[in-house]
Amino acid sequence: MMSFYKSTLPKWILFICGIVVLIASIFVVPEPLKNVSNEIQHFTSILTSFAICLGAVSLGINNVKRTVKKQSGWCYSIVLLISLIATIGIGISLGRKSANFMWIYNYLYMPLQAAIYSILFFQVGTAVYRTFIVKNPTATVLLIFACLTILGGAPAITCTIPGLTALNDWILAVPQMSGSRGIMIGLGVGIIGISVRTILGREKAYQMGEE
Amino acid sequence: MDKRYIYVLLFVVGSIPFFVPMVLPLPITEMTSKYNDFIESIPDGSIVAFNVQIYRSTWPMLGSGSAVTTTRLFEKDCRIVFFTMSASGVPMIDFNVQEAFKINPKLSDKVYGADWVDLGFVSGDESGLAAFLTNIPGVLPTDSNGTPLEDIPIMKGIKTGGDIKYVINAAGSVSSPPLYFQRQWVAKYGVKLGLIAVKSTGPQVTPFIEAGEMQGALIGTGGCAEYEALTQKPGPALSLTNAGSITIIFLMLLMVASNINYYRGRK
Repeated sequence: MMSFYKSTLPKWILFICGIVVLIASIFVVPEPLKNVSNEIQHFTSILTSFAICLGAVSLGINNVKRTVKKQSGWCYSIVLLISLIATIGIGISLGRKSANFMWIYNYLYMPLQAAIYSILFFQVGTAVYRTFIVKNPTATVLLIFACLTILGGAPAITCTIPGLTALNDWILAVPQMSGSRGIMIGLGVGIIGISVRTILGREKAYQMGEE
Repeated sequence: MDKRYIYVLLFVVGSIPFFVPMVLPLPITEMTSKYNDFIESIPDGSIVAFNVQIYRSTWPMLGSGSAVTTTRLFEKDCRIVFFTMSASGVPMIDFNVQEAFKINPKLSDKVYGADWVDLGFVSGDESGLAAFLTNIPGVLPTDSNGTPLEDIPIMKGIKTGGDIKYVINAAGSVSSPPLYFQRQWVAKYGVKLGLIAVKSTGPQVTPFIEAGEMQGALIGTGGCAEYEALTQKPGPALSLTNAGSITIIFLMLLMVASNINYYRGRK
């Protein structure tokens, strides 16, 4: 019986939802079937909202456990828990557009996010130093194209070196685009394959942890 | 070389343009040119959908493009339906509009509900967008203030994605929002899509722009700076581009130094 709930039922739900949405997307179908397909798609938004709640609960539980067991970095978990509870509490009780909630967003969340992103600037610098080394012919080709593309992003240089903008546009429009299109077509075919396998119940990645 | 020296040098080099103002030349790329043509081709008074999926972290990079686009659309008396595909992007919608009003203070008489609306967060990424486009009032029955959509003048007659002909997607993320906007909105409803995207998204979207599936794009700070120059609304992107130019020159020098170091080490 457990196997029915854990494996067979999800497979059938997935099969029916997948087939209904697929048929309604490709063919002209009667209005009731189209409405069912739309409702299934609407359900995605609801599920996503629940997933966000589930994520917050899971994050909370894991960090409470870490704090209770005093595992390494437990003090950071306390900071996280206080922030999580305070933000959710203020957001729910005073409202998302309240001055207090916006203070958290503008003076804590925004600067922290900007600070973390700006660290990338320094990481890129060291990455360039460590990785852009001419070791073999393939690396040389990669390096030349990378340099031209990077230089194309510096207006001061593109104005100084005649033809660099045109060369950069050519790299984007010809070699890069050929590669990108190949990757996209491959991805598209791969997604179709995965979708068919999932609808038919042969893809079990979504049942991770279950036999 | 010790990476700490690189960090210090990067900090110093990147700071120069903020202390020593420079006027560096700025060529206009084809993508920006196409984007500008797209915005200018939107008939005055049209309804435009605008996804503000820029986070605070990527605002310095793309925010100016978003704010200048909003300003330009308001100047053309376009009515804008704002929404975001990111939970943390919700407060950025209002921020974006306020920035547009700062660029052109005459626009601050634009009326919420008649000239623009904030629909808030559309969850569910690509599937969520697909659902949203099939039945907009069904997925979001109210705007972000809780006002029912039927009471908002700008939303009268807008039921599906096909009821809006022009879409701007400002996505400060390297994942696939531009592509799923193309799949779910352009391919299904035949709308015209313009992009504001981070630099690394450029190669991803080039094939779609060349094929006419997307109308144009502001790629990275450079694209935003070019758009500021084209619309004659100079702002932060222009000064950031100067910093970017100098940093790129420094990165090239770093690369030369790393190769010299590598070959000296081999000998």
